[in-house]
Amino acid sequence: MRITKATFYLHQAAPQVRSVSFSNRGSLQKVRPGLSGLFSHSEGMGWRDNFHLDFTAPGPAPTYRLQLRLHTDGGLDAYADWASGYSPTELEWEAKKVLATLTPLVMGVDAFDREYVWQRLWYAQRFFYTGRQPLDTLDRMLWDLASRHARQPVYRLLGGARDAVPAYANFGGATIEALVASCLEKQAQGFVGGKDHSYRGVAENIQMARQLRAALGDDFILLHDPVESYTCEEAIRIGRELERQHYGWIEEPLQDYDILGLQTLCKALDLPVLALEWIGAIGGQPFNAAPYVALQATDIVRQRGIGITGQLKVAQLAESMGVPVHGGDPHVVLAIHNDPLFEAFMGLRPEPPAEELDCRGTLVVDQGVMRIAWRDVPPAEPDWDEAARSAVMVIA
Amino acid sequence: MHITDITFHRGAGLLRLCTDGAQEGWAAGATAAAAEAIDAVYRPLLLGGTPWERERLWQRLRQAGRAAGLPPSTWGLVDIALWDLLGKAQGLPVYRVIGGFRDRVPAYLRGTPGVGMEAAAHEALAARDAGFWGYGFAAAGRSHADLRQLRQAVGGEFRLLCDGAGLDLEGALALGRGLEEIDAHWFAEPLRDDDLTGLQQLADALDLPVVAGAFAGASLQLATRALSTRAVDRLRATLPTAGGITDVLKLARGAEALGLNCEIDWDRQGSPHAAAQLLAAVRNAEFFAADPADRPGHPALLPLALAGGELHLPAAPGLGVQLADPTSAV
Repeated sequence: MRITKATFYLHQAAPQVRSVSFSNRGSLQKVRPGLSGLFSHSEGMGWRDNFHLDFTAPGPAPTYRLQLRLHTDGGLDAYADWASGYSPTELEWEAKKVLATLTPLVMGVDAFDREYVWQRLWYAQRFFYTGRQPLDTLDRMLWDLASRHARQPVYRLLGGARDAVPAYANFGGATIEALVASCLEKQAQGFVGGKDHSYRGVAENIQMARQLRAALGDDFILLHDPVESYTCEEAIRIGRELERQHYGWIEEPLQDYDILGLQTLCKALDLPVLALEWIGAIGGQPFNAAPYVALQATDIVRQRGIGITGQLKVAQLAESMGVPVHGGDPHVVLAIHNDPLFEAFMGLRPEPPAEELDCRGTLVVDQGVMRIAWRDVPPAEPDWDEAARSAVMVIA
Repeated sequence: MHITDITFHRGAGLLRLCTDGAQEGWAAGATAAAAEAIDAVYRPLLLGGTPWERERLWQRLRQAGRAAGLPPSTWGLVDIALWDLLGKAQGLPVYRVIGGFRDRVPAYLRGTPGVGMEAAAHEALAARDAGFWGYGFAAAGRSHADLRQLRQAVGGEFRLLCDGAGLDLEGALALGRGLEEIDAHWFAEPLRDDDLTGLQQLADALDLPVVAGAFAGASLQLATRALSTRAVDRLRATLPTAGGITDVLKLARGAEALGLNCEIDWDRQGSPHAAAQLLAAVRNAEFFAADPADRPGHPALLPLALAGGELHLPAAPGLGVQLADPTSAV
């Protein structure tokens, strides 16, 4: 089944009111000066008292959605949304750029030759400075095609190691009391564990850990994620307390770049250290995960592989080196053994009625587990004639 | 689709996973001992199982196999048959079920074991003229003069691969220098023991790539550590000795992430089909190891197609195993 042609459809989407806001209660509230040795003499990551700035458009503006279709000669096409935005001209030229630089690389290629496409686009990342999105989207399109071809969800195509994976939720709050209340709420929803993203510095985070453990009981899994806000010394100090409170892991304690610091920390702590979210987000997995694991600079690899194929590579690398991975696509998580917990950042997801399910599967998070509900029926294929008629523009 | 029965065609050494679906999965190379172990240990695990849950089955097979003291080839054969089944169920060759990388794989000719230097030179020349990418020979007992003679016979450009020596460290180092002198392509299985310290010393000393992996079936982690510590320059994984397609795929992915090759080979007691499919699915393996056309292949199977020094992957669904006599396994 060969890829024969690429077409972009530029569709109008629902109008939206554009808005961006900053405040000291929002995304800028990270690390106050003095709370970490990293930020003792600076404004940290932007803390300011009573800071508030709000940009909101006076009314809704039209939005647009760019859809890529890879035609094949085999009766099934691959397709996905490629980009969206407020400017049809920008999207039109994004489509033209992709048609000129990337899709020619996959013309004539078999739609099941995903490894070739992955390797080809991996290299194209370097030459066209594409970032991770094109490879991620193209790889997922081809796995989606395989899923519809086999009438099986991707996690079963990958080997279906598990039916369900224990799920934990993220919790938050402006005070320790609010954090505890938020975590108790997640526990009541059935989650087996919870993770903070607390930047309070060592002293306050020790208090937080003690109060959480006392409130949540011994069986609840607690995870600490300070998002790169500690020095190595601080991470060892908090790590010892987390060990006493039998936490599950400490996540991204240091900057991912600090290989030697991470190595020191991994050697010092019994508590598992999870790293590589940031380095992985920039790109480079599975290749830059390998030396971290070999140097024992992380105990658990944050899953940031590109596409389903890249995530499987990361998981298989980790398995071959005897370490767990964490995160990534639910299909990959269900297909492997070495990812103990699912991070349900989407919260609860009830199972839809059976008639809404198809072979792609739908993510379900309830009763403390993540699973994928599916049915052995293919989804309806898009009506491409109608898509061409209703599109603002067809670019090929 | 569920597994309903496991049978063996003893003449062909063929393991057959039967299902309640239209297809069955095959793996060639099942010895009588493997058949017996699969029956005793794996039958209860497999019956009623869902082939789509291949990874779950692989974990269970491996665990039960280790507990029962079975060699990796035992679960390897079952795993290979599962992949064959999954390919047939999707109407795709196994390499495209994994995710295809190529449909042709460069091949080198593996010389007849134990031939003298003159005969080896003839084989190597014939391989070169047939378009093969290289010629592999066992190097134990060869002098530097022998090696130079072989190089002279085939000319400067043709790849010569040392495919096993089984020496002690001192002997391997001496031979390795001779191989470097003739610009050999690699030095495979140089040592007689699974001696990671010795391999590391050899790999450190030689510029010539040291390829080894007789230990690859011990565990994924041990084999991968041989790469991360550079005890070997390339891993060699042999199917099914080192395990099944799932085992070797994981080794290859680990090697890829470490920037190294995992050369994929096949046990001459079995069939090359599983190795061929894996070679077509990964980037970081260089050659298919082909036998001379006059060397008897698997008695019950049609050989894989080679043309112009390349392996051409079968387009048929599954592994592409074809019986020489199609009625023989029915």
